[in-house]
Amino acid sequence: MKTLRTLLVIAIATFGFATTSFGQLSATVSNAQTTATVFTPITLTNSTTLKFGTFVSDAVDEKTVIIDANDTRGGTATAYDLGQTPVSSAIFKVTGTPNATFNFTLPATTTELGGPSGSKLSIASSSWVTNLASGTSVGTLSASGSLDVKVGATLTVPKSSPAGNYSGTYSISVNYN
Amino acid sequence: MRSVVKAVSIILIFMLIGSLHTSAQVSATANASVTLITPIAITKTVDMNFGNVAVGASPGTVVLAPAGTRTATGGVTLPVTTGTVTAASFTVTGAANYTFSISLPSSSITLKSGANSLTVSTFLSTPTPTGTLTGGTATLNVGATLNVPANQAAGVYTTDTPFTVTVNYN
Repeated sequence: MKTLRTLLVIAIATFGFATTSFGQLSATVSNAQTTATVFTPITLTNSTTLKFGTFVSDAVDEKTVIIDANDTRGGTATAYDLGQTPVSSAIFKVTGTPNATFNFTLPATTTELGGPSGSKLSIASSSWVTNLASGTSVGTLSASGSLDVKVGATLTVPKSSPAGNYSGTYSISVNYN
Repeated sequence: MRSVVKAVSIILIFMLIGSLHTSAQVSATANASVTLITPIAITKTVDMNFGNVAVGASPGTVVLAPAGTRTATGGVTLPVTTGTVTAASFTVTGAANYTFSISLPSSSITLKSGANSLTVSTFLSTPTPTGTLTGGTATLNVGATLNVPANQAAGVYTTDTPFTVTVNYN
């Protein structure tokens, strides 16, 4: 009987000990959940395509077409749109944790736009621009956890480039900073 | 027991943070596009020729339509032997189905025969004022009005320098 009581005390003590341990584990898991909230997965989608428009390629000189981050076009090439091909900066929608900041990474290598007969036009990696604060590549998500980032670039058109449609792909990355 | 749980918890937290960090960067691939079109070009295929014109005691004109037909006014008459009568004709080439603007001489030009001269004015074209490059090509015909003073000296009158027609994409 005394032995049984001892066993019972040990059992209770063990149980109590286990309970205490569980309690600590719960507290730790709670901390982990707080950490996880900060890292709600960030997402990135391209909602508007980068469109430079329509141009006559020059027979003598290399020309440029510049689209800034506000759909405005410039550069040395002569544009002939006739309302057929709207010009647009690219728009990338970033979603994630409200008010979080993120790094917006532009292409690090030259982007090529392929056209007829294997001809190519190029976008230099240094020419990409965004509507994020000047000189930074950091954005801040809104209180609802999203931000549209507008992206522009400079297209180089070699002289005597053949007529036709040119297109190419490039990649943008985001991550929390 | 307690330290083991703590160690496992810490490892769990590190694993959790570690895995979230690796999956935190995401990328999107997007398209960029541009269209290049053929430069517009214009080539003369036929010179303008008013043909044979008979002068009279009073001034008159010969109106040469873009279609190549002539109409005389005033003291000018058109002989039965017409000579070569042609409106000027140009071939315009460029991007298919694009439209283009047409610029004709806005002031009169001078034809000369030795020391004598005539003027040509009021240039008209077909099409006007814009054309369409159906299939990437268009024909542009140009007529004008020849102004003939009374008792103008006979002779073959030609321009010293050609007149200019300019086209451009709209």
